[in-house]
Amino acid sequence: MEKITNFFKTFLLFELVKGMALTGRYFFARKITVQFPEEKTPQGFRFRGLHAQRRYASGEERCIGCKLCEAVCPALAINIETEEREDGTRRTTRYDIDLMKCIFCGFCEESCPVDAIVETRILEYHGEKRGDLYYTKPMLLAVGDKYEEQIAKDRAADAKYR
Amino acid sequence: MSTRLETLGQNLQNVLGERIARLGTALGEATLEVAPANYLETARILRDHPDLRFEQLIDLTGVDYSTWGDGAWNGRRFAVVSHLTSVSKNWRLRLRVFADDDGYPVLPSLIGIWNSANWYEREAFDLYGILFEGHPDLRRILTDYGFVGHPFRKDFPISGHVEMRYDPEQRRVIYQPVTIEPRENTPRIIREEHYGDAGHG
Amino acid sequence: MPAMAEIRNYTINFGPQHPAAHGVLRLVLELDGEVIVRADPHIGLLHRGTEKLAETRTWLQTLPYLDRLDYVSMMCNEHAYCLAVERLLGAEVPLRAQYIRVMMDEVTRILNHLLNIGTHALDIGAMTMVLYTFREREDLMDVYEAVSGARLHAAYYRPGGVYRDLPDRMPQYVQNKFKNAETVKRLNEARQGSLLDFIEDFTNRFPAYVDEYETLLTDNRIWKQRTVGVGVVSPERALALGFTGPMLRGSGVEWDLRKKQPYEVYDRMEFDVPVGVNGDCYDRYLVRIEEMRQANRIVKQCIDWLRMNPGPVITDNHKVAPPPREKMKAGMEELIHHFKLFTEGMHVPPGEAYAAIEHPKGEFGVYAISDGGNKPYRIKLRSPGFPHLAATDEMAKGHMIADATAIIGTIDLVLGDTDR
Repeated sequence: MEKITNFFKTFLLFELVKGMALTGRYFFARKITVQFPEEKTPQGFRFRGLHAQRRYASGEERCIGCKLCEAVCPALAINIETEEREDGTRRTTRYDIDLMKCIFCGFCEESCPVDAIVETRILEYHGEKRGDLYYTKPMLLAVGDKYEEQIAKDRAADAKYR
Repeated sequence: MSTRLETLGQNLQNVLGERIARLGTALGEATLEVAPANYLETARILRDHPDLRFEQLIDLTGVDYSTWGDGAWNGRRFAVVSHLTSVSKNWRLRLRVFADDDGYPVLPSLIGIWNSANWYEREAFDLYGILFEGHPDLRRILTDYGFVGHPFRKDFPISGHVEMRYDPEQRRVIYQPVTIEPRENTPRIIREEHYGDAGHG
Repeated sequence: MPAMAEIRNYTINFGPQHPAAHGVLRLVLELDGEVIVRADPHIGLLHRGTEKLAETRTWLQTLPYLDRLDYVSMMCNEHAYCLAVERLLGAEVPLRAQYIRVMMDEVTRILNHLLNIGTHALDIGAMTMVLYTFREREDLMDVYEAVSGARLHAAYYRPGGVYRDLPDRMPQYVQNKFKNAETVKRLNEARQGSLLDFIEDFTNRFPAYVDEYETLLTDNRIWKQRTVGVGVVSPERALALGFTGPMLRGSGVEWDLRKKQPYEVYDRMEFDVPVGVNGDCYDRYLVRIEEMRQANRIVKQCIDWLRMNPGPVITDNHKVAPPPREKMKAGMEELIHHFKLFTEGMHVPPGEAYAAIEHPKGEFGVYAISDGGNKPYRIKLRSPGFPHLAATDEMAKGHMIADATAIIGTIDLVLGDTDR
């Protein structure tokens, strides 16, 4: 009996028809396509994207030049130089991140004792010529200033896990 | 698990006897060391003896011990370490053999015993310059065609010796000495023993 | 004497830019007509010297490089590394961290097999498969992103546990000109609760998806013609060639590290190990399909446990793992630990350890030698793809050139993992 059914199944392209029926069903089903540049898929709260330097509410930059991030960076992408300022505090005179080297592991953010260097949720940025993706301190601070609200919100929400 | 490890140790003692140069267990793993002269024979016994039955060579790698412990090493420089698995007995063994000559390390090839040794030995040859006698096809495997040197030796710099770039004048890719400056943010440090134990530093 | 026409075998390059070569594999094929006489894979085009790099990085800094080996099963690579380091350190891992690791490992296994089955089918002519498998991968990628902050290179496992606990909320879709409020509400239904709720919803849906894949492939005559009897490996040969994972089980050897040498909490999990019979590409495909179902079972068991048992997810030994941020900012001692760990890094006692896990592709092992320093003395990564690819010659010999694609697909080749 089984032989006969198998014969007919083979002869009538049974399994192919079944497969076609499945794809046919999806042809008429609701589409799951995301129209990318206009709409985006949900982005995780812990997303590690473009770096930013943060400031305190007073406008003072947070980074104290402890160089922990420079030391922990597996790709050696961070370069820091520091100097004592007139008011006696230590601040960076140079803080560069070479995004071409960066592997976005998030260790810099993890190591920073004052939450100065963070990885934001920005993932759409580009450079048009060589050197464009070498981010210096003013560039990083500018990113931080622009997205501070979002950065602070994400950090606050995730604070209990860190 | 520990009793199984003991059984394995006992079986190795019984079967191999004098061929064992050193046999130890640490961290739940058994390590067997043999002299190069006994290497091939030991491997065959390890595979075939009914009390051992290591059917699989899981891994084979070269190791360069020359800078171990910042100069604390005074044995031979090159070793070949293989990891064996017995599917029927469900145990593992690490087999280590040191090459006699530091300058021209040669060891017999395991390819006739475990076929999986083929590429692993090519890799060890490529990266460490260890030669395997009896290997039918000892070519470089991971490095570029025409590569010079053995990159995983401890005296080979991390940045290599040459870099490649396109030369617009000659209109082809050329090799030139490396231009990147070596950079190391965290030096290699070896602390004294018991550093980091509870109640210590 | 009339000159005999000299018949020479024809040699062709398959790759390195061949779409079915799964990356940068150069396969030199010697052909007699259309029959493969010899297959000589040239690898190393993606060799980045991870093992050498590890020697100049601290134990922690090496971790993110492990993600980049097998870039479709990232967390499994980290897992083996963490196990090796933990064994050397003798560090205790909190139970909750072990469950999280097992759960994420199985999520990774599903991710990996989805990619493998999708692209394998794509390579040998079944275009649709990859569209369906990538739909499910998207959900799991969201899990990855919610947990670690990256869709691929997670850097989530740490020696001593995992970086952070699982989040209690999921990111949601927002309304836009393509999706109205109703659609968005429907899409967000599964995303209302915590991450665990989201994964549970997925595990409930997933078996039906696997049935769909089976409808499309398992009985399909074209798929069978392309895979049944292709690349047959006997159990004896599979052992001699160093096969592990689905490649070994496809040949009928029941060997699964999760069962035989359980690590973490796999001994508390209930699951079955599928085994093939003929050792051909088709059996290995069936093994992978069944493994996805079993992985789904394990994920479910982990979710149940994780819901009931909150707790720490990383060791409180601050010589190994940094203290929580709150404490670091409040206490001097914690701050010192923090600084020490992120500059000098942890010190691992002298010794050697080989830790192996049941990676989706086979046995992934990390052989770590420490001389007591803050950096590894030598790390050897035993990648499952390496011996499998080495056996291509034996598997492809005598087959038609079109079967080379099927064989490469069934190996589940990822060059990042083979070349290291």
